Amino acid sequence: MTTNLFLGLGGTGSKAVENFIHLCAAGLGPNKLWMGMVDQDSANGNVAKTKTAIDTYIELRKDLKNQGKNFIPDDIDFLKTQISYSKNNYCWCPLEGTNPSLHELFSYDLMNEKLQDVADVLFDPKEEFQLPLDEGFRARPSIGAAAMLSRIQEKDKFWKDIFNAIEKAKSGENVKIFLSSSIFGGTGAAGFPSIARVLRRFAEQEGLSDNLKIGGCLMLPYFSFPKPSEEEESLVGYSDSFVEQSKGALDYYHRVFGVEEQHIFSQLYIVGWSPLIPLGYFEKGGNNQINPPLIPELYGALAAAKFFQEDEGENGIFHIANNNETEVQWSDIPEINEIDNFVRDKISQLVRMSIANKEIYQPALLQDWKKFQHETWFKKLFTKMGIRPDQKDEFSATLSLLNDHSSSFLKWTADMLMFSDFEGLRQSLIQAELFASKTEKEGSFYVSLEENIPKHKLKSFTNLINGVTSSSLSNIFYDLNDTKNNTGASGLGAFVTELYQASNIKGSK
Amino acid sequence: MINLTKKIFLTLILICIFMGPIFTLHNTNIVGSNYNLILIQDLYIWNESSNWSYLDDEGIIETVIIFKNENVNITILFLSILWFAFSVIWSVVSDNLKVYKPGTSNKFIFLWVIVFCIINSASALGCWYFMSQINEGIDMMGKDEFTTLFILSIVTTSLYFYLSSLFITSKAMRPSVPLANRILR
Repeated sequence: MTTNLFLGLGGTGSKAVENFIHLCAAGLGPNKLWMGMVDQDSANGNVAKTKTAIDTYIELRKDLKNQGKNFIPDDIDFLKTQISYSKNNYCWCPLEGTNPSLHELFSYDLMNEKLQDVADVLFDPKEEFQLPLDEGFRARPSIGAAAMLSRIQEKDKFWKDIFNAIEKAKSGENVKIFLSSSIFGGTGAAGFPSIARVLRRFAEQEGLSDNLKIGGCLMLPYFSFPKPSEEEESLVGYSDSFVEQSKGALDYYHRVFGVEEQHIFSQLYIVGWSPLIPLGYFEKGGNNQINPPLIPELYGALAAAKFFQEDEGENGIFHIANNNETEVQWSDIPEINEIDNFVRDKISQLVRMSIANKEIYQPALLQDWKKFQHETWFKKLFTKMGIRPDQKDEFSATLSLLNDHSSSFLKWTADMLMFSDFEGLRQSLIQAELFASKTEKEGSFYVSLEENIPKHKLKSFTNLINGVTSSSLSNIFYDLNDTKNNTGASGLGAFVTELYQASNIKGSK
Repeated sequence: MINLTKKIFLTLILICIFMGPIFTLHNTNIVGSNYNLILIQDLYIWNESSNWSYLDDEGIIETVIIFKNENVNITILFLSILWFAFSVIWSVVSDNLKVYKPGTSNKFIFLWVIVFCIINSASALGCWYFMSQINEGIDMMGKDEFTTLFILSIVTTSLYFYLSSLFITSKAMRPSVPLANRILR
């Protein structure tokens, strides 16, 4: 047994958590996983979006993994990972409940003169000391590290869960913790080395270090946004400064984790991207800061998937690079195991299932079920499973959750592919324009899902996945009708299981 | 491909089930002396003073045998080919409609009805042509015989095509065959 924990640090970290949830839905995650986020800016839109994604995932999984009611068998990869998090404390905020400045945090007025002089050398007394920290550490890891280390407490519910998980190693269980953050931000860059050290030291103190594996993914600068206004410039990080900042940080990481404290990380992944992907807008923080997922983040999420999947992690330095820096193809996407095209097949299967579900089956299932109660697929997947046509209302909540999940997964896919697509980079992974569109309004880009995919686009469903000609929507419908329905699924789980299997990129198994 | 082979095999079995007894009844003396010829004479050949002794005449027997070989058996062969062809056509057409939404295949009942009408018309027309317009058939059939022939051809063709559609239509397209989903539970 292995206990797996995933911690997203800062804004990029919370996006990493969201990305990993979607990979878990596609069957690329471990069997069980605890997730958490660390962000000083807990009102950040990315954190809220991730929380919604976790909740939708957990609720849907709870509804569809309910033995005796709606049940999807364990050998089906859809929603494979059992995800949990600290209830009411999914995001740890180092300076919660206050809106302190660094001045207050360090109790500057109580310091003696000499210490005040040292502090004045390290931090700008006018700007940095007065910086309100409720919206994050604004790309200043030095501030974040100090604040964070002083606040990690074993009594805190969030950290209690993590330390309890590490203590499970006492009974011989392996514990794997994966940290994900950016190297160029505030909270993440500050928390990444600090938290890794705290966890490793705790394990060493308890004599459990052998059973604890810490993995990490650091995102080097991979996106850019327009330079903020002059008055905001002093308060926030901007992308031009990211590269400079990353150089220093990389030098630090090399010195610390590459030489002095090599034992802290079992696996460390560093992901970068050139040229930087332009985001086209800027938000300094708060609930408006909802950055879209981007292709480099998929690499980060796959690093976590590989880390959790391996029983015995390989040691060494691994490299991956694009064949062509202006185009991303499936051959550029790293595998997480020995199976050829495993990642492509799993992601594609869920994209295909989500489209089929959202476009074809959900609209039908919203109608009166008596309309098609005599059709073979309904008789096999509903009537034989004990679901009568007059019981539609009983299952509407689960169906609605499934619809939300399909939309959320498609939106994530479309955002990632379309926002990453610009003059300097073309993606040849999935034809997202078949189910989503990208529009420009007042200089900003928006990606939205097609409300109803037009018929001519549905005809291209077979060519949705680049480089593969897969089965059509008609094949999926025929497969549902021809199913032997012997997977061991029950209730609504039978329909979901068969739809998932029929959406396989190679056609029904 | 496997699916189509299966369907062709099923179609051939069904044709044998229907045509086997018809062919045997017309070509074999199961019950007694010249029973099959009496049946042919009784069903298809017009004669004002039709009676059993009529077949005592060697010349007439010869005529009935020629009629059986050159008209009846050719008609049976024609119907078998026609049925086979229409079953395959229906199977291919219904599968190529590419239905992908629940609740839409029943909209194609009209197509099944069209194929049903065509196969019935073609079989009636074929029976009329092969039984009465070629070889010994010319001038051998009367109005009553034609009526019997049409009724027989329409009843058997309808029964065959309905059963055939029941079994060879893909499950996804079954609602396009009237009452199929209620019969096959």
